[in-house]
Amino acid sequence: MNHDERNREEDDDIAWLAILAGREPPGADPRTQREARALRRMLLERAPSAGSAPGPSWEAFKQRLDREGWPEAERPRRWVRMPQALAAGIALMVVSVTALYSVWSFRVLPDLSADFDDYPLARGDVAVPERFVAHPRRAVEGLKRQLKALNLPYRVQEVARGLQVEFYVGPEPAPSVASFLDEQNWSVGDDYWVRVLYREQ
Amino acid sequence: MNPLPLTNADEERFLIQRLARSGSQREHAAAQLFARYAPLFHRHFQRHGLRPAEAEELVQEVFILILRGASNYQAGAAPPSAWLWMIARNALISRHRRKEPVVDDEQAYTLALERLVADPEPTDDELADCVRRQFARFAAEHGERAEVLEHIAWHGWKPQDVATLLGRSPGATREYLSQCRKALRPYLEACREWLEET
Repeated sequence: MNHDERNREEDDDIAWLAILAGREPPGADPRTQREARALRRMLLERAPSAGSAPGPSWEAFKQRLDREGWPEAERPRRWVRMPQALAAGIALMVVSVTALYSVWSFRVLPDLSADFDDYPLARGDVAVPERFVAHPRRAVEGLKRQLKALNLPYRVQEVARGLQVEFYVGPEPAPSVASFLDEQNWSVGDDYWVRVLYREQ
Repeated sequence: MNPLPLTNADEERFLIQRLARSGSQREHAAAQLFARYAPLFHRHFQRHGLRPAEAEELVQEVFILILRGASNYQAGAAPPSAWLWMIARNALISRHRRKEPVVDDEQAYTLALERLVADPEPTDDELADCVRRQFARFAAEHGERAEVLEHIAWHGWKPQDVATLLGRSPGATREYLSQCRKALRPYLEACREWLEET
């Protein structure tokens, strides 16, 4: 299966799931629409309703709780209740150590956005489109600002030929992301990542 | 058509936040969520081979877990329904690990679905009949996958919500859902004639 076919199949799956969930994705294949709608209609007819059968008794449960004592709510996990200042301090320390290590080891570490948590799959047959600019670093900084504004996780990495930027747009990009991609004329990979290589002119 | 279970996500988020408090607000919120979800969990557990009394006991255990864990629910991370069903699913898995089910998991599901197929509502809709019959066959072979598809239709879940239920990464969940559809496809081939006509 080539890339186009795989992309089409993934898009079709996304549309099928969206219709099954009751949404109306634009441009879905008519056969996909018919199948997903028929399935949804059947499943909804069989959806249980809370009042359709006598269920467990709240009174019995409440009596048990009153007898045994209501369970204590767990204290929020440490990271949830960590004071913001402390969290910021730890983050600053991590960033500082990372930066120092980078300088010390003369290596350029990948520059990751804060919410970057999923590395793209390395695929040998993915051709990374190249963009030739006068100042790649400056151009990448500008792009990073745009990606942050769009809440897109990204990774910037120095490679032999320039700076490679990768960011994840997900299966259903927000309209603002879709128009950004259109403006830039960038296409999305079949793993929902966009990759661009900035090179010096 | 049976009414859809009301899953007002905002209201349920509010109720879960109330569970983390104390006093009458907590009790009122617990009663509201219990009224909404306990019958659904009870039915689900019976479908997985538990006797009614065992299912009711497990429902109570699930709600104790919900009461304990409410303070850790992150409102922005997943819809309440996905979080609540995740707790119920994990409790059922733990229970089956502790004790052999009375009836095998798949067998119980098959039995439940056979009842549905044996006593279909009268209908003139051949497509609906076909889809119902073929989905029952699919569910008999692929119980968990069928349940995931039911959750998507009933609650309007997105793939990331299914990821919460299954405890999988978004990427693994996308692949899982793709495999669900692939597994269902041969069953729906029998309905192709009516699907083409519609």
